[in-house]
Amino acid sequence: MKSSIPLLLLSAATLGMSQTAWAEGSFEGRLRERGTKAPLAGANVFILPHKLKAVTEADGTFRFPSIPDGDYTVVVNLPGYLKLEVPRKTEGAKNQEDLFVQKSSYELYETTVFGKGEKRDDSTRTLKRQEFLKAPGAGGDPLKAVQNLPGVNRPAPFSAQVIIQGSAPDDTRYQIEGHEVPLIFHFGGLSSVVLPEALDRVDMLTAGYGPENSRALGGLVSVATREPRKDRIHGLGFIDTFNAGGFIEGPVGKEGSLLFGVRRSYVGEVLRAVLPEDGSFDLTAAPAFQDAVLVYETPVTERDRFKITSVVSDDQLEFLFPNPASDPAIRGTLSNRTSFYRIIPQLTHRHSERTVSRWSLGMGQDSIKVNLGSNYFRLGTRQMTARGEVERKMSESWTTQWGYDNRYTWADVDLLLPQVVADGGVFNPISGGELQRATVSTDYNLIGLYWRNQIKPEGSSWTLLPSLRGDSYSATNEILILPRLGVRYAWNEALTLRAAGGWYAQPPLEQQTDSTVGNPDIKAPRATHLAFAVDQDFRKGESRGFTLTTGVFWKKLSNLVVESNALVTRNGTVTRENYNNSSSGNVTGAEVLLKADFLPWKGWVSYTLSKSNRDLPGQGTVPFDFDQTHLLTAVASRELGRNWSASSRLRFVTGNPLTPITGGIFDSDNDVYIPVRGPFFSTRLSPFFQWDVRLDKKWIYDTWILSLYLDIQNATNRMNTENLVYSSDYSQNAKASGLPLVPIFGLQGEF
Amino acid sequence: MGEHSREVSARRWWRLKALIPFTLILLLSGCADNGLPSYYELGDLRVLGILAENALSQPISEVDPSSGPTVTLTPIISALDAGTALGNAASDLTLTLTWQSCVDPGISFGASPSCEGVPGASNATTVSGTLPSQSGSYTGILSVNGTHSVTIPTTFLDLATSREKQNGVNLLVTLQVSASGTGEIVKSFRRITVTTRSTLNSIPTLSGIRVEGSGSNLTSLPAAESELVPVYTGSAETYSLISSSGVTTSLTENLTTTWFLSRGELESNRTDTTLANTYTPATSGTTPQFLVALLRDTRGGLSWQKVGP
Repeated sequence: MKSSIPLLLLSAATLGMSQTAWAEGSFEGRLRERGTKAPLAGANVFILPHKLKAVTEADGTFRFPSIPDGDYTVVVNLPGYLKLEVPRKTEGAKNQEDLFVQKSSYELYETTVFGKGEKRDDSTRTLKRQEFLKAPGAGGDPLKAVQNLPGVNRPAPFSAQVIIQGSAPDDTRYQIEGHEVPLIFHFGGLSSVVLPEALDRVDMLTAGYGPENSRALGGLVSVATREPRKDRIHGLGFIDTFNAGGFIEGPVGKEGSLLFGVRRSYVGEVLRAVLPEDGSFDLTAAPAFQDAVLVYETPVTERDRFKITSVVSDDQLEFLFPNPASDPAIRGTLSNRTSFYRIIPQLTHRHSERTVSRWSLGMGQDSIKVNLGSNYFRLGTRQMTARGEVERKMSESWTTQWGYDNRYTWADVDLLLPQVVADGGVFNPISGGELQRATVSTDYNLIGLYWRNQIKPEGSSWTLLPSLRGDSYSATNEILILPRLGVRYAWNEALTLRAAGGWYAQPPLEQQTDSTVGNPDIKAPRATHLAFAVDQDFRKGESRGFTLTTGVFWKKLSNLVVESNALVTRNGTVTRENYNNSSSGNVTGAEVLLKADFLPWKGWVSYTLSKSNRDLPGQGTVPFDFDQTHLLTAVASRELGRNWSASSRLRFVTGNPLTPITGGIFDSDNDVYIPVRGPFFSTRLSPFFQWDVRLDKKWIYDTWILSLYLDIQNATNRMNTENLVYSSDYSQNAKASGLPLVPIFGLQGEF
Repeated sequence: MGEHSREVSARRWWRLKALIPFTLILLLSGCADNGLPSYYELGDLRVLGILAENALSQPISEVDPSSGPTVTLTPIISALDAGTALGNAASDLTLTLTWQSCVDPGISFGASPSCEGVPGASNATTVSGTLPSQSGSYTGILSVNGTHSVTIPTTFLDLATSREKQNGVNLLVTLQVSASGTGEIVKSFRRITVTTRSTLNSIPTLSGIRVEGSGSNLTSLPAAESELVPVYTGSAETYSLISSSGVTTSLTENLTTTWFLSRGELESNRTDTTLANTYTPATSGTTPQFLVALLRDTRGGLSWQKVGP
């Protein structure tokens, strides 16, 4: 651009001399970015060799009122864009044309990934869109990408749960816009329940998380939708190996914007096609899942902003066993359907420069239907969650928040199911389980209040985050006071030390407090968290370089609920105890996350060293089911030019502990063997290793972009042992492997 | 049913739902090729079933304790390959059987199926039994000491609640079998449900096995691939149970045929009694070719038939 200035001056000086040779031609149009159609403002458009220049307006329009007849070249040369040179010819007419310039490199969404964002909670790990959409092995899914982070244990295959820092799968809560939902993954963990392209970020709250959330001994996974774009109508459609969908978004009304997306899976058909022919079962249900999301956002007044998010999710799976399976109770139709919806209105009101309040509700219904031959489980609940918070900047050094976090549930349960025994992670055949029948309508509530503070004395390197939370659980008639404290010390611009800890609790499960099948005297399981971490930014203000986060965590678990066959006297009657609070546990670990940004290379290495134990009655201290000593994940991506990019992920995880089965005892009545367990979790599966690769290509057209990707999961086709399968009498076993190499092709178009 | 329910629900049945992913693992990993023997394949020492009969030799699974009935138990045992270990095809197989009975310690809740340490358990009774040889293969009922008797005390339900009396309290009978010469030891058990309900379980009787469409029962296995069906009298009964929450539920039995084979192949280990099982004869081998079928009614009712030598 600098080199063109003398030419422009020269052209201005000679303008009068050549003017007589010009005819009446003109040229005008809009300058826009190719593919996205975004208008480019303040850009210079040149016409050569006539040395004419126009500067685009805010909407990208430019105009040359008069140009000579004959050939000329329109030139646009902008930083970050490929140079545009288009030959044209004018013969005195009025010429109108839109010009499209192509970016040097396209990302679907432009977000700062490695930027040092303002985090309210130091224990939160956040993945932004750009990270999870292109993460190898995650198939563009944010929650699967979360598993690349340190502290996230590898779940069982086809599991739809996230296991955080050695806690139990049930110790993780899931939220959308801060409101709890029953599940965050579709069936089999194939995909999150919200269309990834509609999300802004996914947060994972780990040991030492703040007082705004609770009721989870392990942590929380929370997703937040993004603000729909309002510059014009945008659309996106995609299709891949397992599902297809799309969304449309754009301005609505004067200042509002709306996004609506849907997705439908055909994984059932895919599985049917790839599963071996076997007359013993038939996979009948398809599709396996479908979901929809709607987001509307608008300012209401200068001080108020309103947003409403609606999510609908439905999962179903069905097998048909014409004959009794290896467990004779498994016969006929085995099906599972889980669906829910939530409507989440949110209002943010700015009272003054110093005070802001946020209010939201989560309203909806959950439905779970499980059929197992003639047995069944039906659950219908109406849910309402309510959140409110007032934030006030009390002084330059002190900000405080008062808030509530409540949940109300009205439930109808109808079940006819056998008792399932799975001591030591080994299932007994359900054929011999005590048949349970119940029809119940009930309601309960969970009330939470919190007070959070952020104190940073002026000029000090210290930040203190003292907080207090109070919870009331109607199920256990408990009021719990849960203090928490965070401390942050900025050693210098690049180095921060931080610590966080506190008390945590979660309500026991419903059946555990039930007066007939449970123990009404059960109390809430508790945990104490403590975490220390160091954040070091080696980039020295540059955008390229390394950032390092490393730390240690410790969790003491108490009051954990375990099953009990003991007979006790309750209300004067001898009865089975069913459950008690006699278990406890410890989790210790260290984490490292080293991120590197050396465009065109990017990547990170995360490593977790952890030990998670449980004290079980009669078993002593044993490893936790998902105790994984080493978790190593390495992710790398590279822009290859011409809108090609490649990425890869390596994962190594210690094999899960396993309870050996030393034999079987034949149950003549039910025609099954009852497994005889060895010491609980005294052996391990072999380590898990997987290499995933992903290749992306974009084709940029003037008004839309076409993307193609190939995501190969388990590229080495390694047969990782996921479990052991046993002969009917448990005298022999064989390894059950996980998924083989799985190629996922995807095609996506957007405008 | 207590309170809170959503996560409740989700978690209440987490274990049950965990069966679905586990099933998928098995399917996707090609469990059919895992090299494990099929259930129907006879070979090592195993108990196929334990019959229970009353004083009139009628199959039972439930008894009324008012008369202090005596129940006769008969194990059906197979040790097809024992002849190889013994090295003498003509010898009968000597088995040591140890019987013990006690109140069910709560097997359906996860307790070990054993009478050890259970208050009021009977003393263990050990006898030596004989399983006749069929050219070096052994499957069937013992010719010596083939039965064991258990007398139900009339006071058995004295401490039971009205719900327990209606549903029944299980008397657990355990059986350990060891084979001399092979060193094999297997354990098994069955329950006798002691109940005051007015209508006791009626056991369907398996009278034979036929080739589907045929009018006569098989006495030996067919030489060609065939669709085999059970021939039985009786039907799936409807009965009621009172759950721990006090809800009375009407249930219907499922009748299931379990198949065992000395040689050859079967399509299914178990079949619904309305469905046929495909039998494919073995093309080689010297083991006597026979089939054992057992019919169960999901309430402990059991009857059996053997086809072949």
